[in-house]
Amino acid sequence: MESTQLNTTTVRKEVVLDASSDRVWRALTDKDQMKEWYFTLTDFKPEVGFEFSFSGTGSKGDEYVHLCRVTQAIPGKLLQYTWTYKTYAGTSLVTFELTPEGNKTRLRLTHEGLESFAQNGPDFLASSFNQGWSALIEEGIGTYLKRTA
Amino acid sequence: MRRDVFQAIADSTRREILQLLAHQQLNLNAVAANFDISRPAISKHIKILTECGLLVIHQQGRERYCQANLNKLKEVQDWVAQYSAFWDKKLQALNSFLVKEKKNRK
Repeated sequence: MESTQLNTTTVRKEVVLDASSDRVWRALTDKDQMKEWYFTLTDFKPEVGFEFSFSGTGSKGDEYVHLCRVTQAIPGKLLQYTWTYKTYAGTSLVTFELTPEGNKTRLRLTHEGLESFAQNGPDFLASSFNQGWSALIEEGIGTYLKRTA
Repeated sequence: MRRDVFQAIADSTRREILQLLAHQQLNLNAVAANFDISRPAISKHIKILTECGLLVIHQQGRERYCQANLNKLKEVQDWVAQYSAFWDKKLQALNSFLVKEKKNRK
């Protein structure tokens, strides 16, 4: 067991989504749906061993190519992939766990192993996934304006 | 080699040493007794942790005690916070997407 002090290199999130676990699963694994909220990928298959990559720009303008490989896929329940960076040391692991709650779905996200990136130093930037953020923010504002019009 | 908190926690043995000292001070022998690696190797890790500011060595009589300075880990927390913010944004976007999709299907 890690103490909370040293367990600072794991990110854990939990959200309850107003959708069935099947629909959440599709949003997590169908590339046409993924690009709406996550990243634009040429292909995605929720199959163990499937590899994908995407790039992002760090806050200092550095290009970070993300390399990922699916390690677990249980339809409607669990999706897990490695999350690494081309030309940088370290391996982290992203896990999505889905639990039905009535008509809704509890989604647990865990991103662990971030300490393995520490050897790249403090300038190795986590915020290296700006791809699609601006679009996302604009869309968010658009939706907001429509709502308040 | 760099001497910062990131260098300190980049090694699993050093993370374990910090873990061990998180709630107690121990003398060097007691620290070394917890590991299978050689005493010089442990001393080297302790030296690095000291140089990175994560450990303080106190001399008490003939004993040398190690005390962890975990406040330094805040730098790491701040760095990890970027990932936390990223996932917050992504999960919000996922939620918005699902809400929008639900409306469109009605």
